[in-house]
Amino acid sequence: MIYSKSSADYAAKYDLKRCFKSGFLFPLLACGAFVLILFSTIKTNYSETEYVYKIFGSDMYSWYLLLQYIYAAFGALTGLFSFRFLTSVKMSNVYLSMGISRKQLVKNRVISSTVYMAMASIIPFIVAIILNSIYLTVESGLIKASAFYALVYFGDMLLGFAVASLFTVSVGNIIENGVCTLTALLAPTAVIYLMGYAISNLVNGAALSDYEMFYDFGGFCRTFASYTRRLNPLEYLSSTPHVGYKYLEGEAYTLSGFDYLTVIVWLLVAVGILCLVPKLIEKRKAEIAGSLGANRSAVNFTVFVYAFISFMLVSNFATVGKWLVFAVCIVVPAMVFTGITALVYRNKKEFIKSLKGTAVVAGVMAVLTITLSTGVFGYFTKIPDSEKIEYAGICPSSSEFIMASNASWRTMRESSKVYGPMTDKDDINTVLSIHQKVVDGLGKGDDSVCFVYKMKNGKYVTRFYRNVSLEGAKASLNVVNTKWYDGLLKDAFTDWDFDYDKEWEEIPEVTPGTTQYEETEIGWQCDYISYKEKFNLGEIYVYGKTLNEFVKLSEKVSPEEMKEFRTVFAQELIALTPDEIFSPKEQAMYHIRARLGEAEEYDGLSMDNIPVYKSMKKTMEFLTRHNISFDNLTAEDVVEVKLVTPESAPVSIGLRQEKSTAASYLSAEYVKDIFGGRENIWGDSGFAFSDAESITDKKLIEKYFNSYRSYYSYSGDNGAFVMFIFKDGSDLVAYVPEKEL
Amino acid sequence: MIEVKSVTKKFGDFTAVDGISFTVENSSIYGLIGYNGAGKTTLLKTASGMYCPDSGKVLLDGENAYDNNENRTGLFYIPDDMYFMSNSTVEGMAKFYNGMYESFDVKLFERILSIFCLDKKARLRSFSKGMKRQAEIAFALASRPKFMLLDEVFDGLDPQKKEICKTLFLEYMAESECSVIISSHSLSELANLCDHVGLINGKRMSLDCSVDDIPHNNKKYRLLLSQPVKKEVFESLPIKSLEIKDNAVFFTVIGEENLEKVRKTIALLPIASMDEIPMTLEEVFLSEMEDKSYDLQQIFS
Repeated sequence: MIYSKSSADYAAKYDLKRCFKSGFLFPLLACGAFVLILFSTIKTNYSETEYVYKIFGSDMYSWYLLLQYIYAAFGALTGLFSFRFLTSVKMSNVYLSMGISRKQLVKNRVISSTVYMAMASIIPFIVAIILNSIYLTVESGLIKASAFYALVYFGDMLLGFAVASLFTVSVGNIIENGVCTLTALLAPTAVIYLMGYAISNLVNGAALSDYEMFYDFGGFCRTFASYTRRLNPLEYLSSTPHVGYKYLEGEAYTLSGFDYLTVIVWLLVAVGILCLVPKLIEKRKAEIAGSLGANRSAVNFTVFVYAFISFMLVSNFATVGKWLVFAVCIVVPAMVFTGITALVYRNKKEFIKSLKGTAVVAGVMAVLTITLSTGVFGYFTKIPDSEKIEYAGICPSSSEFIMASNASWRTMRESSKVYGPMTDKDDINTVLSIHQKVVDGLGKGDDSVCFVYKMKNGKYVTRFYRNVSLEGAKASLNVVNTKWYDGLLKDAFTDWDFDYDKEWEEIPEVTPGTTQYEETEIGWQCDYISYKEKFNLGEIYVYGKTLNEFVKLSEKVSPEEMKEFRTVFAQELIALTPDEIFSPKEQAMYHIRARLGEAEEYDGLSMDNIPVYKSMKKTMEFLTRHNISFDNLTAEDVVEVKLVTPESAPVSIGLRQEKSTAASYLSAEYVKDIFGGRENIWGDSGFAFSDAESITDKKLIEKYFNSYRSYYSYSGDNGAFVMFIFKDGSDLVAYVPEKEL
Repeated sequence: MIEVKSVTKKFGDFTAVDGISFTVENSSIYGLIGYNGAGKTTLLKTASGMYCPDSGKVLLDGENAYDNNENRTGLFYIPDDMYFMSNSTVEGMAKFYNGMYESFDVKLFERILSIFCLDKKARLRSFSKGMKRQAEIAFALASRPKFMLLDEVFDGLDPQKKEICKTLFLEYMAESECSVIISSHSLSELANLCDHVGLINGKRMSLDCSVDDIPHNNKKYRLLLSQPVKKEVFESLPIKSLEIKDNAVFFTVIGEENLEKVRKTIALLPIASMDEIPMTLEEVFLSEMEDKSYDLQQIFS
């Protein structure tokens, strides 16, 4: 009989051999999936153009992000498979009674799985490098990028494995194990995305959103996820520039220490969790195999995640009412916690014990709700000190309409345009006073206004307010009373020495070290130059009152006279008050439009037109002096008027909602171009005038024709949209203010 | 040698085994008897080192059994609920045990298989319960363990195979000085296999003795008294199954110590005649379990 000490080593060696024999399945699947993706990308790209094929091409980018999840999932499956003997009564009877220690069982499975997972992470990149060497070239940058990605995927797979192993040695039931592992791995993603949603619902003022905002303010108002992506082990790659792609595009990107640090930190987390596994398996009670809810900590953690998710989801009720949000945000998560725990234990005694957890959940949610719904105790509604501000910027919800009224300095219909940077002290105070009015009217409306301040200490203060009252939002229109805005108009029309190329050269370049704020500021400068280009170098077109005819001004006047026109027009635009811009008391006599290139008929109806009113006497006098007149259509030419109020317009058109925000300005054209004013473009389903009242009464037609406005803010106004249909079949959409109806 | 010392095992608030002690010498088969749920399996799992006792300890050759891989290399535990790798053949499972037990004897394994008439190429999932048991016994014996823990190992075996198994166990024990604990409900099986038996009653060990001592230490008494004796006299004694009919008294005594006490007391009684009949293991078991028996008349009346 042989009972030497070598017997234990013998069993350990055999177990390790068995682990290597049986543990390759899931790493192989992960590796196979990756290689398959690589080859499928080759097919796509290679068939298009001979040299388009790129291992790190943009086609692969989304795959690289998804592969983080795929690798973590296969890592978790490897863990569940390797340690499955612990959750089976039959298997643990055998494994735990043989001559191999629990620690050794863990060690063998960790060693074999780690080797396979490392291979699964490296092999696809070796294949990628081989493919590159065949079709393109191989340089050190590619190898470096490959090594980086391989490390990322290995880290993800190891983390999935570690988490699954941790729960396998902690809980008794395979299903519970799967649920706990899945919850733990997906919790960062769920919490990060839903926390953005909760913050955007509850914290009024935080410049965070649950979706990516575009254009100027998008640079300041990022998603919560974009800030916290590195905290998510399955998504941190998306915060790292697409290294391989940049490399092949010739845009050298050096991986920063922070990029490596993120990978290393998550690797260390995985290793740390794995270090816990041998300790926990020693403490594991074999008798829990197969039983549900054996580990209270695991149950509490998992159920808490679901309770927290429910909190974030119901935060949507914040918009319904202050007290409701408290009730819902506290009661629902507590109920979720209690309900799931009751299902897990199905035992009165254990259920009563779990009520402590319910109390903790309710307490945590109460603290969170109070903290978030008070804007972190007033932090987000505090007005910055003007003395400390270097520049201010404001983004009224109706930003695009403000500019359209006086000059479309940026492309129309883009939201989230920031007006600034305003460095003048008076301008900063104007923005601050708007800020105060916006804060005073919070929760009393449906509008939204954003602010951005660069402080003298180099920091940025950004605020994004929702549920702004109409008064607060309208106050934001006072941005046209700033020196910055006046300067903008003056530059646009009268910068005689404008040198387009020179100004572009002075724009700083966006480099890998440029911050998101700096990039946005550079974007402003680019927009400013484009705007000046449009009005200084572009052609000026003059349209008549009814927009049916136009002339190119340069064909009617000399260059000197053109300068005179630009000067007087800019002066009179600057002199317009917000009321004159947004609620004009008279009809526009002309419409001015600048564009680079030839005007087309359809463009004549665009929102880019700047109305010229009788009160703009010098402009009017100039146009009259140069005999610029049009055969405007008259009331006699109108055969029918279609009339629709915002309230009676189809819901899908959105006019009702717009009415409660300052964004309702210029709605006549808005209706026409965006919401289906033209039947033939948008079809009957979105046609704003589909259920409109038809008016053929000559007197009414004349009344409306003499009182319509081509630009008007219908916020708080009970007027109506009208579509004049002329004898020749053409039409004109406009707005008739309440007092003119 | 397996030493079970004051082992208590609890599952939450439920006590499965309460302060049980016994010793299994080398070359000894210890039969563990008890009603369903008495704690036999828990005790075996604790002895196998799977379960950590809440108090007390199990020593295998003087060393703690719990998670002691050095010691467990010579231990083979056949659970009531057998495990075979999915879709594996007899040969496949043998390879597994051959890898895990350095002392695994392939030739011995094949000999045992031929005795059981089992095909080593056959898949275990196609086996009946009894055939699986035979295969498991073959794995156990071929592993040549020093400690064998067998939980309801005869369950599902036909009488012929039971006898073969018993012979194999006895032969192996004689050769290897192995310590065996075997739990079973079939008292007749244990009677001619074990040299010691332990009876778990109410989570405690109520009997722990050599099989040879059972008839000597456990007796049935039939007394005929020459004059009536108060019932209280007998009720104060450590006896069981007391029945008094006129001057005739019937009772049983379990255990050597109890026997001594009873003998001293009844020597003082007015006895006309007395029969002291040795008890079989089965009678001892039934006597011990009498508290747990059901009154069927009451249930179905």
